[in-house]
Amino acid sequence: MRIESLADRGTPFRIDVDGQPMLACVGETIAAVLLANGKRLLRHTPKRSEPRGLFCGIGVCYDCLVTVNGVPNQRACMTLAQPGAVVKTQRGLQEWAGEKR
Amino acid sequence: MGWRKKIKKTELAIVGGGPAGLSAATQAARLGVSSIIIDENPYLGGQIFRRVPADFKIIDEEKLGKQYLQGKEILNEAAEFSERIQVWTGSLVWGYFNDRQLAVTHEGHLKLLKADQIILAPGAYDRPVPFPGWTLPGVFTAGGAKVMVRSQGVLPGTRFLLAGSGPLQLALANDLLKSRAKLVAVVEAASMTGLWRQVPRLLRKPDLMWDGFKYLTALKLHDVPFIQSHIIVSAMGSEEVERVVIARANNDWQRITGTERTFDVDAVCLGYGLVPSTDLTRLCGCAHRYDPKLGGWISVYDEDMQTTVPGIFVAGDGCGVGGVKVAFEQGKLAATYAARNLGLVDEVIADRLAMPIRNRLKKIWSFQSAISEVYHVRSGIYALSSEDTTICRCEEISLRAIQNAIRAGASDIDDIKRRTRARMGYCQGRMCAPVILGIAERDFGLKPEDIGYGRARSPVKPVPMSLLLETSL
Amino acid sequence: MASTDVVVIGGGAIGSSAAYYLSKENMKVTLLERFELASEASGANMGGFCSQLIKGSAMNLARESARMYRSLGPALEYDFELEPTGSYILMDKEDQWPILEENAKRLWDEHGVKVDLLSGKELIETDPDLAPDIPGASRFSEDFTLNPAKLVFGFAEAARKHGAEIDTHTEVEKICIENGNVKSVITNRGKIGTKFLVIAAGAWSPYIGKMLDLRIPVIPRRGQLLVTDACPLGKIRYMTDIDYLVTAHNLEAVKTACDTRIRLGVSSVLSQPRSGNWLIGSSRDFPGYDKRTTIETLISIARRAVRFLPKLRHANIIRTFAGLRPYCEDDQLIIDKVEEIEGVVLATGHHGEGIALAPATGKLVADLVTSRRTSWSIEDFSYYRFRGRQPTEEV
Repeated sequence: MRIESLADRGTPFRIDVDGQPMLACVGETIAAVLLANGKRLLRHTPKRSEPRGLFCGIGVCYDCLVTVNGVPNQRACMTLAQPGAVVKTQRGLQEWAGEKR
Repeated sequence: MGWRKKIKKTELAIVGGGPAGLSAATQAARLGVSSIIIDENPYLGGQIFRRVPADFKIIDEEKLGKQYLQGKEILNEAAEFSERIQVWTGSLVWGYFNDRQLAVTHEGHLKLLKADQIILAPGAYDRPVPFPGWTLPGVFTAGGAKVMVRSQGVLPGTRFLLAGSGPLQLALANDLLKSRAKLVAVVEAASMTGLWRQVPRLLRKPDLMWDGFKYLTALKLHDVPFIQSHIIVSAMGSEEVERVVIARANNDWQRITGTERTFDVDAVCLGYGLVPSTDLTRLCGCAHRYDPKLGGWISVYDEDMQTTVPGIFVAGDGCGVGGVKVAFEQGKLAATYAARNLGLVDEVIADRLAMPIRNRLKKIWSFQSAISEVYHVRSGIYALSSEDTTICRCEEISLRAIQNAIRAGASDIDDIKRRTRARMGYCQGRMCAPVILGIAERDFGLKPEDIGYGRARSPVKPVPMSLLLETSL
Repeated sequence: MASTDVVVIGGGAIGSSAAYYLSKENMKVTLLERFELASEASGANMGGFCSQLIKGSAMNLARESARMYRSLGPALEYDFELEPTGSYILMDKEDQWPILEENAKRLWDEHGVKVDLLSGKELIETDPDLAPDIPGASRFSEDFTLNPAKLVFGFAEAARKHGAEIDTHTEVEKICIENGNVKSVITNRGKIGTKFLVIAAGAWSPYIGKMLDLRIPVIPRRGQLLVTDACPLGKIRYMTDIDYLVTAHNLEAVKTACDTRIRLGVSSVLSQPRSGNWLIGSSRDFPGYDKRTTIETLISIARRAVRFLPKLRHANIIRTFAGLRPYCEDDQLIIDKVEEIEGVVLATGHHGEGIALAPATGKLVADLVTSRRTSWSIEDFSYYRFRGRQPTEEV
């Protein structure tokens, strides 16, 4: 949920999250966009399939990993949302970018 | 591009753009030193002065609190010396090679920064405290929640429970109240009786005491229970947190069975203090010592803020958690003596400039140590995990695996790493190392000095392979 | 004063293997390691067993070790993550077929080891992730990879189960000889009386030798590695650059090469253990006892690696480290009983083949200590081959 009273965020743009459109504002990180829309489950871990999401928020824990525009294992909290970005939550180990086999 | 072309020289490299780094840059500039200040984030300010995105049009600046305004002031001051301070934001210092050559990712490319003098001011991060369910989405660190609320204007949940210790979580509670979040409880591990004993020292900084008092009053006004001597013991939910259980704790923060209380929440914020970032100081070969009241392992430094490696200084939370004011003064001190090392200021003048800084530091430290006396983490907090609880979040290593490794004779944290894979993941041990130290001490009586802090390796944070590939030899 | 039958100095693959095989001989064994187990070369390598690259008499030992490895996991009751990946030597240029063919012939004629030569097309069919312009490869299906640190733990745990004592953070300071016999070892933790002494301290063996007035001509040869983040397992998970044959053993060619990469001793060795991370090596240089990684070599290793496995371009590097291989001045191991002092056995100089040779070396050490006929010939590993030779200058 966005705290509307904080700032005027200007015109939002669309990003795509797991095939669904989501509105984002300029300057927001992908983590913020997802959280603002109530999406907190970002991935399932490779070994024990544990559900994970944002934890430290400052880019040190590497738990908030999502795939952005085909590049996997990006920290949602350190990646700015861009218009037209395609974001996918992750399940298990990911093939590195560009290796779709 | 040939790798030699990647080498850039600078008089002073300042790693970290928080209060310590900014203060150091400004002071250095005043003394005639040119510096490059480097921060991984898109803006300077560090965590405490983490700014709202430039594209947000702030409706009411006052609402952002005095910290925001303080930050603006410090940034403006540094801006006055912009000809002497080069700013590299969005840049990561990840390696240290040869003598004082920092490997940096700057504008997406590799730069080798050969610095005459280095000030490391990397700050600290929230202390991870494991318990069953701590990895569930919706369980955040207090710092993580704060970034969302203050700097991105997003509430990461609807019903919040804050658990931890110390004034930082009160500040977060205040932010949440102002944002109209439903705050279900604020759970404080320490007992306030400890705090009263510290009043004489706390009174040395009445402004900070006043803040704490205001925050507690706000909680009361909003009918938010402030539950002392309690800790969080588990979080439950299928794919996200849905409920938490807290319990009373003794003076050692050991849970007392039979005192459990359950709350329905969808957001939990853990605020158990901060852990200094020592990856760079370890990588550079500085000596370290262990001080639980300052956050754990910290670099050894002298009265000039110089580490055991000549030419490398430290300042701020990264060398011992002391808060903003300490960071500010230490940054100034470090820069003064870096300037001395560079020959721009002689020893006598440096000492004269340093005297009032040292005096101020003394007073602030007195207040800070009173705070940490009450709020520093007690070992009971490491007895919450079950055998199955994930300790190394990155590699999904359980408590059982860690304990088995120690039982099999693992004598230090690198040994534990080789046996269990803990510390081999993306975060390179930032999350699990402080926990492993706590568990080893509590369950096995192994002193942190024995467990050690592990060998640091470049890169101190993951870097894309492409960064190395773009350079020819 | 504590007392034991045999002290083994060195907690790496060789020392722990020796401790294990000795402990099965009804002897009291004490292993001394100054830091932790596998904290040096044995903990800083890829854990690859590539028979194709081993030459001469070391190859005989490697074949024996390979046979021993087949039952070692169950014998030690320890999972050291042996993966039956096979090994591949990858060609770089079309004109290198003679090198592979010659190597294949050598392996067959001298050791009865049959390798398969694959065309570039067959290689890509096996694993499409490999670079499409690799002209061909040589494969040995019986080769494998393992977790080298876990191998050491496995040996040590099993030795302990047989009564051995494993003392880490224990550094040898002095060795006492009496009437030409080993009497005791003085460490930072006290004195240990012993009849036998095994020197398996890798690159640090010379320091121990010095305590006995023995010149052990081993010097440290550094190797650097990069570790990537994890991805799903590929089809080919252990491969080596054909240039390995030059960088590993041809010191002269490395020294005089025009190519910076060869001068840095860099040739690709790539392996993907169970965890899914890719381990990327390798390099060779003689920096003294310096285990730091260097930016030039890391860059060179990275660049060479993507020539063979282009997908690595998209990886993240999460760790780099270096280890010091024990390089004997004539590039050959030392496994021998010392003549001057009764009770001293040397097992060192394994260079880049410590993992491949650990089990057989351990067995030979047990043979030497118990004064049995050695299970296999150690003639070529004699310490006394240096007698009459002038020590070569520091490389």
